[in-house]
Amino acid sequence: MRRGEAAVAGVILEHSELNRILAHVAGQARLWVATGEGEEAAFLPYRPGIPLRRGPGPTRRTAKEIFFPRTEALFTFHEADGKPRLEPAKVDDGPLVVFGLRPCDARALCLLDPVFEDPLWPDRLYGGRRARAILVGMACSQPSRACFCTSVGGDPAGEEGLDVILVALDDAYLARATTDRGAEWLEGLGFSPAPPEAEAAAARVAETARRALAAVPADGLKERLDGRFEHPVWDRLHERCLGCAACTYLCPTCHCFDIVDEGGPGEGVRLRNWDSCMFALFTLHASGHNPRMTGKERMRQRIMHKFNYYPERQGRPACVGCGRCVEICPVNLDLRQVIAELEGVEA
Amino acid sequence: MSVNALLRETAARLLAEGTVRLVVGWEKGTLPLRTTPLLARTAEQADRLVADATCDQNLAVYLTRFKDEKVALVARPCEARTLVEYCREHRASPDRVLAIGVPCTGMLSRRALERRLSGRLPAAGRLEGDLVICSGEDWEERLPLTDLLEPVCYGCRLPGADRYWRVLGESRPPAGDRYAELDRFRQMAGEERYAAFCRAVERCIRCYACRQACPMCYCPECFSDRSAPTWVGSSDDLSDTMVFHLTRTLHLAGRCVDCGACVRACPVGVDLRHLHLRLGREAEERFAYRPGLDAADRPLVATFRPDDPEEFIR
Amino acid sequence: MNPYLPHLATIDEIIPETASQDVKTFRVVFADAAVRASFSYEPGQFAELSLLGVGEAPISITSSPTQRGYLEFAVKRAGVVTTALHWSRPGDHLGIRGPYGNHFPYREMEGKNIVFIGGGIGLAPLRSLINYVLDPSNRSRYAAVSIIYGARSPGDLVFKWELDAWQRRQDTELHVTVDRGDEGWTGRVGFVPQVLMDVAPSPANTVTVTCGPPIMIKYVLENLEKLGFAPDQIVTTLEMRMKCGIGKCGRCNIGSRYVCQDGPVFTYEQLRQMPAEY
Repeated sequence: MRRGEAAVAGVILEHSELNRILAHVAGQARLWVATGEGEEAAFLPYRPGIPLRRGPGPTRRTAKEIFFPRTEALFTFHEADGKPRLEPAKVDDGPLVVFGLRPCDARALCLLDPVFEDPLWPDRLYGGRRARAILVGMACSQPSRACFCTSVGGDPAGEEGLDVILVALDDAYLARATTDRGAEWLEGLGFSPAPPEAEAAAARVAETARRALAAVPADGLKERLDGRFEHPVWDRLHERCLGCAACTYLCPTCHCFDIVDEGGPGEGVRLRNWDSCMFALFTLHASGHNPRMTGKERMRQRIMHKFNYYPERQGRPACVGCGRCVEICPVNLDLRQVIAELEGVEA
Repeated sequence: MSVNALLRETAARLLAEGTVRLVVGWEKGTLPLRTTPLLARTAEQADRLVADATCDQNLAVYLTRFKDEKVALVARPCEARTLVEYCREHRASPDRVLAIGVPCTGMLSRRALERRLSGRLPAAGRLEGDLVICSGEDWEERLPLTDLLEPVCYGCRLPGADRYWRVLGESRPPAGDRYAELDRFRQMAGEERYAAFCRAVERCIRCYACRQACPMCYCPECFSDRSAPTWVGSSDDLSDTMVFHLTRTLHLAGRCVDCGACVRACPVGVDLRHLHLRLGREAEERFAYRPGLDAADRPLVATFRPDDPEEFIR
Repeated sequence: MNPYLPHLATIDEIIPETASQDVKTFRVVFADAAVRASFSYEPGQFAELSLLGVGEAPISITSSPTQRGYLEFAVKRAGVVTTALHWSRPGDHLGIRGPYGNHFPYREMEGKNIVFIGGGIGLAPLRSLINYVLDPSNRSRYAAVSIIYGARSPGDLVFKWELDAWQRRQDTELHVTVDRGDEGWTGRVGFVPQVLMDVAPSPANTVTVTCGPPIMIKYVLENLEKLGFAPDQIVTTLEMRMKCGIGKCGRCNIGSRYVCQDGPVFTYEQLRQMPAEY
């Protein structure tokens, strides 16, 4: 899917043109844009005049919600002539554009892909939305104070998962396609080629952002966690945790869900709702047995899944360093600190 | 001696002498102007304790986890009021929990600060007297703390000194009408109120941070988690989310100590304090009951008194 | 594809198993003839059973692939879905997704002696393999077969109708035991791990397959080691709260493994290398 040519020339997109372009795009595809600031920052369907987000770091709500919404119907059912009939949820694979997501959010989708689109059981509800989605990212010129993407393999101007990346310059955006699909999309909008100094300015923006990022000792964490399942470090790490799902629900890579029925036997719907490994009831068996009895086991599961189990299966951590969990934890239980504490753990 | 020094010394002594096994307090957090709960078990750990306007979790929530240990709790009026309710509901007793009273002049509101800074996130921050000083790469702001206090702090109700094991300084919360927020809400027309309620509830993602941060939400299994039968659906359906919040409000009727922990815990800015205030005012006006304050020995909803005002019956 | 869409099926027969009727076996038939023909599974796999409007529950398939035209599930009444299932009647509809998970290593077991050790409802997943092995088309490929099965009381024994059939076979050794007998009980009384020591199977060219309550498994494993069985000669199957069945919902992790995909069947050798979180 990546572009064939090695060096792809960028184009210049004037700030003043953005609204016209978005309105044009919205006429051709379902368009989601990053909007709002602070705790209200989220991806919402485009409407004329919607304020585009400018603030530092990522949006509070993630782009995963577009592809893996908090609630989604799997199928509906109703009874006709004494027999149940099932109506599978319509696969939504129309043209879709997401505008303004940060490189960390695009990368997070690449980490969700192997879960939902594994070859054995591809999930078309997720996959359909992903299939034709064009992700137009906004490079991070100003990381948030909690961001640590470069410590987990990301970059403020990272291209993974994006089709087009925009870099905010002083008075315009430099737009560059990173996939053939992105190039085609960008060409259709017709912009002027960027002068060489724009490329240099964009490189400076990325470099400034990189320098602003704190380092978290996540290198080699997978190996350090191997065989540390029973380590005493887990006894204390979870103590402050309240057991809510703020960190997992706002995490761009967390994907746990529950399947529930609503409605009666005659007519209803089977839904998939987000669920969280941090909830006490998540693993409770009908028999009353619970393999993860206390906060200790649940916190360990969350950390191990991100930094040991997922890497074991997919070769890299299930964390993009977006810092959301750091920013929103009601008790300031900071994942960066947890990682640092695990670094010092001896066998 | 500063409050922090006094607090550290007191806590260290309690731990060193073995009077308590655990001191529940706050320490400096990892983000500017934030603190995080500290569960100190040694005198050395107790040396990290702080108590100032950036402490914004209700620490009493941790008491229900350490049921069999003798614990010291660093307590502002929020925690002290919670302890009164805990005693009444047999969650904790004064012989097990030593409340170390620390002075409070109101909590710094993270939301108010964020609004004031209009989108700039401070990379560093500190309190200096009555000033909040915060800065980013190329800016610094020095703001009066009194302009940035949590709404719950206005008209804060102080439990009597006898509610604490020891008091390290006097609390002087900002004056104000604690029902002002409720009155503002009540002044809106019915449809406006409903629309505002819908807007708030629509934002909710059902992460239950409010419930988990609430010291009075200590049910081992919340009604919203029950599946046999299911009382409330877990989807993003608006009416289900309303049922969750309204039922939680009802379960806190005459119990909510108005610490605001639920509002501060919410990661997406849902603020339904006015619902709790509404029932709190009913408890006060109809039954002369003020949660967290009065020494009544029975919880409001488990009490009948012939001299209740009961004006609604007439 | 929509991997969450179940096949519709009809309950053909409901067989009460235990005296208290807390376990019932459901024989079900797919509504669609094409599904009936194409649905194939292997011993040890499970399916998500659902009642529309109630929900889904993971249940092991207790019938053997050699039994054609229908599936059987032995269901203990525990949660919402299983309770509702117990209320259903022949002719009622349900949904079936699957089969999911791995299966017993029945090909690798060829030429070997097999010792089945089951407790309570734990016989249900074993039964699929037992009937597969005992099927005339397969029996000659396996050496000696013995079954040790126990329950708390005579009334708690499941598949009694089939235990008699196994008992009558010349090529199968069956040891049934109960923790506590009653007036009518003339059989063996004693815990399964103890009966295992009495029977004392030789580990030579033998595989054991065990499933039962955790406490039974614990002592069975200890005793098998005493008898000289190596961890890779012991096969078991785990019960977890699996929701999606297809490795996505994140509920049945044990370490980096998903019980719904990498399990539910594991050797003791594998289990020993996994975190003890089940």
